[in-house]
Amino acid sequence: MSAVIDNHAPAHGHDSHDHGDHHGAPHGLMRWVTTTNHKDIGTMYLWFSFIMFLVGGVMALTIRAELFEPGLQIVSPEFFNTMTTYHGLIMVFGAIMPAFVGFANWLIPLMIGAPDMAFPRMNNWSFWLLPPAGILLMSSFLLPGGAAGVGWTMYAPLTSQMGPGMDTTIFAVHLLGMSSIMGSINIITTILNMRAPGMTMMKMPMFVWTWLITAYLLIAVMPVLAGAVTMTLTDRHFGTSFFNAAGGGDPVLYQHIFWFFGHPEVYIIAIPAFGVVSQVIPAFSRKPLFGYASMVYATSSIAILSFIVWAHHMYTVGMPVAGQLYFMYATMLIAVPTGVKVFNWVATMWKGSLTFETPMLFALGFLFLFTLGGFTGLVLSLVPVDVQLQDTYYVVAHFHYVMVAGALFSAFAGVYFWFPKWTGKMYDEKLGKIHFWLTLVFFNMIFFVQHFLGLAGMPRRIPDYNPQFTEFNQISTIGAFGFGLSQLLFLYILLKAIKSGKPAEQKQWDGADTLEWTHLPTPMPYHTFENPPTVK
Amino acid sequence: MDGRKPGKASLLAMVKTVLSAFVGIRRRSGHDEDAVRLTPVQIIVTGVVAAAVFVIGLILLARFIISSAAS
Ligand SMILES: [Cu+2]
Repeated sequence: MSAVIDNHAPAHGHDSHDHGDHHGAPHGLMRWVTTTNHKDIGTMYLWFSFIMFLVGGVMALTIRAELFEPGLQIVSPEFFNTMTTYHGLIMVFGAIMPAFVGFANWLIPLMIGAPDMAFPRMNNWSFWLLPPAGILLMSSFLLPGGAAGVGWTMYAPLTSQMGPGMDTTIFAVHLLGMSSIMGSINIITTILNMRAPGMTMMKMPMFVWTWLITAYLLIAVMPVLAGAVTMTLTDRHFGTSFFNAAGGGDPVLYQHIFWFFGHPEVYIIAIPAFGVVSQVIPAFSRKPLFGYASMVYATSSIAILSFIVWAHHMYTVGMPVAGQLYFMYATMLIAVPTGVKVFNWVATMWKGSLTFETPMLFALGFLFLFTLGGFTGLVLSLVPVDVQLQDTYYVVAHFHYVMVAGALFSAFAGVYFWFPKWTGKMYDEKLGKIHFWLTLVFFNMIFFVQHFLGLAGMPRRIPDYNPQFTEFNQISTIGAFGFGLSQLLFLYILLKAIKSGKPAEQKQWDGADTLEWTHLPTPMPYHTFENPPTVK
Repeated sequence: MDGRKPGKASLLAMVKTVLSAFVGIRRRSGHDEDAVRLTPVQIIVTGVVAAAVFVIGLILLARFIISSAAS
């Protein structure tokens, strides 16, 4: 603790700041560049991820526009490939992950009664690595040969055939990985060392637990991804042959390394989303989270077990039948603890006095649609089925139910839930509900039909298709543009609330019971919990 | 770490805790007992060992099925 207080004192030269807000945030641009305040950094993470969400969204719309009709209309096949690639990379590494790190920055110190993150300057550095990484990623479009159309998984040997756009992408992934690792170190240290007196581990809000577990996962697997892309880099430029069969290497090795990172990555995205939902559903059910202790244990086990199922992404690459069986059984069995969580959330609502404000609507949308994505995942875990469906639109539908209806819906729920606390202003509840319903309907319009396309055999990552698939593709494309426009409504809701929203109450949601609602005024002072609260 | 007493649990209790965590179901009273008797290190070590046993068990099962299908 003392290290933190030391860090705090010189950062702003007032001689007394025993409490509250008599000196607020510094002004001007340098506030954001030099800030070590977890609230500022959380805000920047969230805005950065929203901008990347729009950039990745435009790429998705390019894909869907091209797929509106069979044949080639709008973009070249090479450019189409870069769109699918960078849409995936940007949404995973630029939008969803930073969004939840933004939540972590904002909420972890508040929820455990700490004055800030453990390493405020490293926190600043973690964030400010992201914009260069984003610029590096986008700059690959300007390089000779264009961006790398290799798919977000960056499989060898395709990666060795690309121009310099591949290298900028690799360096961007390095930067993003460094940022994630530093962020995780910060989160773990904060949670383990800076809890207020009385805030034992098993009293921490579920959101804090989920981030503690996620941070360990990140530290475990981001170096694996960094290793995979670094080996790709040395294969490209320094004469190694890790993934080059001609030099004695093995391209399948890349896939093993990548998915050893890639499957836990799914949980890195999903677990903080579980955390947000585990705060929102109890608040609007006016009941404590059902099975809190089980949730903590089950989430930890999911994290451990996520390391032993990676090759379910590789059934068709070629492996012994015994290997296929092992990965199939393991994948099916680890669905059990995740399924139990769904029952826990439902049981939390059981006999609660429910209300359905926008955050709750998004949390329920999450619950329905994430469960559906989980089921299609179970379908895909079956080897004989996956051999049919590998690389079809069924897979695309499956992981968008997990990533969009899971992670993104949960992030929306979190933004609506904490927005009044963060800004002191209330958003327009009616518009928020409209945003939810539009998002829900258009989301299903885009992706539900893709299940049928996949079952009928339409391959993913191809700009052209057989005319028999036209109708479903048109439905999907119309849904995609509707979805994109609905997100502009979200932006409008936020800006309107920031500018002219009604003042929010300290405890805007009467069922919310974590420290930021019970102990801190709204609007929140710039510095909070300089004297830790005592938790009973 | 956070004021818990050092672990005095039997091996059976540890395995029970970890297995119920893998399934995701645990009675509150069971958890309250764990909190007193188990240390985090004990749980993590048991968890990793249990995961290894789980993997080995599944591999053996897969091999058994393959070999019985071949005959
Ligand atoms: Cu996976």
